[in-house]
Amino acid sequence: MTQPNPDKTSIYIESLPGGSDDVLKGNFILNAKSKLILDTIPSVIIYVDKHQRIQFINRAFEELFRVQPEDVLGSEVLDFLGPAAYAQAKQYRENALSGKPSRFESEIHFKDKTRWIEANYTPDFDEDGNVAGYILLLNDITAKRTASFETEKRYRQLTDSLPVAVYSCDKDGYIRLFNKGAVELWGREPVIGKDKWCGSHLIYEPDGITPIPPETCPMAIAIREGRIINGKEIIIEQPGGQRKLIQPHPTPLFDEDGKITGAINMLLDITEKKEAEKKLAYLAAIVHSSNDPIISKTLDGLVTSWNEAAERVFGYSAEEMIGQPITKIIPGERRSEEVLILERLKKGYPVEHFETKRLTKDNRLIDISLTSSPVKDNEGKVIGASKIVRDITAQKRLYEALRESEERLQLAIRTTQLGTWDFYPLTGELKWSEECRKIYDVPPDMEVSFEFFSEHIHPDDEALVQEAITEAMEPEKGGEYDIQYRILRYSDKQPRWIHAQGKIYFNVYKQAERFIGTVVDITEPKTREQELKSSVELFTTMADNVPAMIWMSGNDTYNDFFNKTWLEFTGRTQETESKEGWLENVHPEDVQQCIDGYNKAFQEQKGHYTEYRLKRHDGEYRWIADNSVARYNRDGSFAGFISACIDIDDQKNAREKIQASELSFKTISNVAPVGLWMTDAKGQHIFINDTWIEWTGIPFSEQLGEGWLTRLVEEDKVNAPIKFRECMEKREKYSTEFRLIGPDGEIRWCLTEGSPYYNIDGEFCGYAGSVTDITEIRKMEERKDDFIKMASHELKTPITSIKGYVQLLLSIFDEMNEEKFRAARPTVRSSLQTISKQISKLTRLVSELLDLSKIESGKLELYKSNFDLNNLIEETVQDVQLTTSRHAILIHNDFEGSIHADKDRIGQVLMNLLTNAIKYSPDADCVEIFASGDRDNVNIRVKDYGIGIEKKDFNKIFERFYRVEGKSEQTYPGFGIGLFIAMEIVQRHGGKIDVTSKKNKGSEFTISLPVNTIQ
Amino acid sequence: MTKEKILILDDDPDISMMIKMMLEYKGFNVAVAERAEKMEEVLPKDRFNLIIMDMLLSGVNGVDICMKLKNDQQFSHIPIIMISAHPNAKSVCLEAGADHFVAKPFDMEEMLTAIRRFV
Repeated sequence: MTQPNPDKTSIYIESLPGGSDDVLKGNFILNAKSKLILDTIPSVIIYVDKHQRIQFINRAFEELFRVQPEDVLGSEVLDFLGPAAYAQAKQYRENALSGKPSRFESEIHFKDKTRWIEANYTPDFDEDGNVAGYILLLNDITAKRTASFETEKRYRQLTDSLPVAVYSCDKDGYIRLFNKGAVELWGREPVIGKDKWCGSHLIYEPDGITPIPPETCPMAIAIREGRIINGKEIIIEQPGGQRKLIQPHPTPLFDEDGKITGAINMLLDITEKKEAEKKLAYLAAIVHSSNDPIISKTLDGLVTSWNEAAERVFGYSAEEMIGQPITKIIPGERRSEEVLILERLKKGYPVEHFETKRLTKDNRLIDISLTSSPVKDNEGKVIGASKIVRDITAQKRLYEALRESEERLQLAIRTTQLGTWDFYPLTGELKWSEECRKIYDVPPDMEVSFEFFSEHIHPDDEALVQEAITEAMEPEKGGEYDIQYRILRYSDKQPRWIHAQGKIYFNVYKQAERFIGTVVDITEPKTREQELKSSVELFTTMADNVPAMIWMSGNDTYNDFFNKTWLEFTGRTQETESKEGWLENVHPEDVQQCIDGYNKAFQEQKGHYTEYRLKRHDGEYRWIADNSVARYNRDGSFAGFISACIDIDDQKNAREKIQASELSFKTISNVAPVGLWMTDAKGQHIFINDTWIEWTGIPFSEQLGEGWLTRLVEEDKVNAPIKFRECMEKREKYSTEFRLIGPDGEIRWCLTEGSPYYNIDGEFCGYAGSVTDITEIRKMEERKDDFIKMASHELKTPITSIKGYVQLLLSIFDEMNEEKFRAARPTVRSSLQTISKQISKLTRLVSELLDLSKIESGKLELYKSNFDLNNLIEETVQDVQLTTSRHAILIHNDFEGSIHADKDRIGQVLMNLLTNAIKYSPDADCVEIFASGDRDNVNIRVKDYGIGIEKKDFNKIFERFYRVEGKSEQTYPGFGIGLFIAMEIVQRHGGKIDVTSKKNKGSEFTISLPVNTIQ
Repeated sequence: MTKEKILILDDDPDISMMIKMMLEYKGFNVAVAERAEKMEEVLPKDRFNLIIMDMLLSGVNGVDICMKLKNDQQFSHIPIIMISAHPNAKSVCLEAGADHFVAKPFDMEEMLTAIRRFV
């Protein structure tokens, strides 16, 4: 009899006593020594004969199943195990009875207990070589199994961290394992042992209509047919109704014997990729149809795409070029260019409009301008020119990873650069994975130990790590280990940041038995984090020191940062201001506006300008200009707002004052009796006032620019702007006159004067000026001109006459012939009479001029006295009667008495009215004068039967220099100031002068004077 | 000797009478027309050797009459002396075809010298 081999945990019994017959009968007797040996073996040993009766059990069996030998021995296996357990091992028993040894591991349920056992069947042969029975050796592997289950759990966590959806099914299609990615994709968690084939039961063909029964889904086909399914696309509908386009990659798993044990399926969510592909297809179409050659290449300068235009321009077909170096079309002397271009592209910079020469297939040099842009992947890394190819490569790699189903997880671990370690604290044994060694930069074959590990912890972090390990080692803390710390790399002693996560497994004595975990190098993210930290500090320092008040918010609507200036202004703290605290200090009337404004800004993710009143630390509300700007993350996503606020209270008050003054200016300008205008620096009108609008009758909008010219008379339309341009070029004062046609067609003479105006920086801004209505002045000037012409004529005429007569008289007196001299007597007399008359006329004209200048200078004085009006009328009529032989002047006097007035001046008025009456009635033969009145007033009327005056001229005749005139009428001599002077005189006496007239019938002038005599 | 006939056209009787008296005293045969219509009536009836007319006439412009006469074959040969108190009248009158211009107020000698140039 040999000793059982402890390594193999199997037993070989050679010298059992008794013949086979004894065995058959159940008289299985073992000698004491053999029994003792078998009882000390911890494994369960059973001997079963060829009739499947239990013939021997050892002590381990008794302990495991809690039975006595007498209860078991001689009974049949079926009876002992029960039908279920019997069926489970049926195949192995049959193997053993047919002479073949076999082995299996299984979970068995026995008397309400579930144990994992390892069973070894060894056939027993008799002397003839026939099978007499078999020896069954059972090992309890529950503990081992549980440990491996824990490992599996660990791996499951790792699987969960995989960026793809992965799940596995057993050979019957039951889902056994799935990761978080899969759950996210399915939108539900499948029930283990119930759900089959796929975690989602709503599967469709890519058309989105045809349903796929789960038993014909790619996973089911892979398991049923034992082949990898590739390239199939399906649509999964999540319980929420959301659909995902999926590319499953089910890969069957086989055992050592080549039997299918199940399959693992990786699901790729290609919903977005598909969209991208669509876009890519559009792009491709654009590239294809582009008239300009579009070429893409790798960073090594290999051509990866070549469109039709490129074929046309360079002569090479796409087949000839793709995969070829781009240098094929670069002339020899320009090859160095390409190196520079590639260098630039590698750095991520584009090359724009670079002009150079290229070589065609038929060796022609052509001039081209090239624009080349780097193609970047999602992380912004320059990958060359072909994004598509790169994408396929990435996909292919993942697919390859899947095919290696055995090491799929390890591979996944490796691709995430996750190192693993396995430490047995009791033995001190430490195992590091390849990746873990890479992190420490330790050669693969070098021994590592806990001491080695300890030595490479950064001195500053030693205490931290020690504490973490100690804590993890305490069973009641759960054995969790999760720490970030620095190590010193083995090769160069450089500090590296790592993130280690692990779990400790304790044995029954609560001793840490195994410590496994993962480690990942996080130096770069950590560095970035630190950079970020320092840049945040830098920002804070900067923000605190600027004079503007700054707040910042995240992409929620809450403000989470206020700089020192802000806090000093409000006299509050970061804490009280945070979230919506700052609103407490906003003026109650402005709060709603602030909230609305911010909400809008956040919705639109756009900058926002607002003004509101904010309470300063001293309690005073100050106007604040708040100008927020949207912030974006590096990936372009909205990150919130940052705003600089400025106290504009003083400014605002000033602005309000300006607005008020603007209003008064506007009012003044609009009510001013002059037109006002303003141009911009180009001379275009930007403002005109209401007065001007009224003059022109054209609305404001049509006046702007050069619209104001519309109403000018044609000639001035041309001249006025020319003059203006000339002045503007020299920035000179502008002054010109023009004629404006009003809405009623009346011509208005305008004088416009403008000056350049400048802003506070001294820049020329345009012209501002006024327009004065000079029509009246103009008319007056015209009349004055006429008056001067007329005055010279009127004065020269009597002088000419006097001069002529005087010279005639002289020549008569010089006549030596006495007879002739005597004969000339009548001529002398008539000449002297005429001279006298002409001198009176001259005297009257001169005194009229004198009166006019007295009136104009306000020096016309009255010398009043009481006099008899009738006497004055009669005297005056007599004087006037002398001047006319044609007219009879008739007096109708109904007034008796004196008046208190300037007798000479009233006489002058009567004289004027009577001479006018005669002058303007050349064909009539009488002029009448009426006097009437009471104690208070006297009315004197002078009536003629002459040419009359049109009604519209009634007022004009009293104006200076006005004379009744017209084409068809005679021009009457005189200054045209007689009536003006008469009116002045009458008015100075407190009276008035009126006229009634009818054309060609005659006129009647009436003067009313107060009597004023002291009774 | 036959007396030269001179026609005076002036609407101001003070002036026309003065000239008439002066010229008659000097031995001319003088006719006076106070209005243009009167002149048109008188002119064809007699042979005039000279016309003296005022530039400013009531209703009608002397310049227009002057032009009309100078364009009329029947009268274009008659010399015309225009007189005016208007300061700038000389050039206007000469342009209109007047043979001479005398400004008011004039010297008798000046007028006679001018007349003698033509008759």
